[in-house]
Amino acid sequence: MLMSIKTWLFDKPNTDCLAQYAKTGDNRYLNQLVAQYGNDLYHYLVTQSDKDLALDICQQTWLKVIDKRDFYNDQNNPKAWLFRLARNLLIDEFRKQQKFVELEDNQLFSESQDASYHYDYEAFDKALMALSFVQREALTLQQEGFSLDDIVAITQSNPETIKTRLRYARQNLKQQLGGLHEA
Amino acid sequence: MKRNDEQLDTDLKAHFQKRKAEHSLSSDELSHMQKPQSATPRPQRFLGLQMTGVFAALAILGFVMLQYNNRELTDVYAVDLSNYQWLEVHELDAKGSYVSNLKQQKQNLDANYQQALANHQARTSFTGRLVSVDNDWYIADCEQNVIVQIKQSLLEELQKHGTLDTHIHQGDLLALDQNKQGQIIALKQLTHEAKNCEA
Repeated sequence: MLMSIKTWLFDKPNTDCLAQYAKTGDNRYLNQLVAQYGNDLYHYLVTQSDKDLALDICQQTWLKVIDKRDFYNDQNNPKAWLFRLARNLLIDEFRKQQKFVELEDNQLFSESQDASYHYDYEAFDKALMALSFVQREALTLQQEGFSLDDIVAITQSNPETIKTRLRYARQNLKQQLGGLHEA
Repeated sequence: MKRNDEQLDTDLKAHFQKRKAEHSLSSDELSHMQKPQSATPRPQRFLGLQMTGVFAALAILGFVMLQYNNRELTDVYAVDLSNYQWLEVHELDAKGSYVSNLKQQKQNLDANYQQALANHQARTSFTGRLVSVDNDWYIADCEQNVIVQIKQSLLEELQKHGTLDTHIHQGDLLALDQNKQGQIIALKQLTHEAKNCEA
């Protein structure tokens, strides 16, 4: 009795919609999840592929959530869990389409000095898209607000690899932008 | 360098915000994303399973029909030699001569043999003429269908038991007594009056 009162008074309500959905299967929680993370997920996927594939993988991800909700552990970061599902689906799709994706690439264009540049949306976007899959992914996930641990969990890599990818991605981006500016 | 890094951080943040605003799902697309839940994909999967089941059933039915048709063809055209009583064989031999043979199937011969053996064992008396004598005696029945060869060993045995008439000569008409197993137990000369089988 006392425990129930304590729980009622002090326990925070569970704000993890994914955990609620996993527990109850209630579609209202799933709708909330789509509203909450749908755009972030789509943006990650469209940055790593194209519009049509991103839409398709988004759809597949939500179907996967319905299918695999029992596997969700509410101690996880729900957004990271969703992104990991989506990433796996995207890579599976690339493999089906026999598209070559270098998942171990840590290419540094050159060791030259950082060049100064003026920000321009088109140029910046072009430079971003010129990065390798994994470097662009690391930057995108970082900008999405994920911690290093989250990125490690999503990409199933180790922390040092992610740090290297981030460092190289920034250097490559700066170099690309400087080169573009100079040109 | 540090200034460049700070600038890049700022630009990255701004760029991703703009980019996300540019690449976002419309309200229609978002509601479409939410449709799978209301439509619940499980029935779709169930429908898929049903379709798979239907195709599997059709495949099995097709396979069974194919097997049935094949069996009919086999029944009609396959040759089973045991179904025929006689087999005629026509061929050219090594010298190129035409040779034809008529073969009676073994199973028919076996059946005839069994019947003959049964008749032989069922018979308790036999009348015939001593047609040849060497070490063994050869007695032909009156219908000229059966010839009985009696080996020397049996003749000696019959003589020992006193069931073999003495003074039997080639051409004499003889009566053979047999037990229920068809074994000859006595061999007697018929009377001199009975010179013919008809008697």
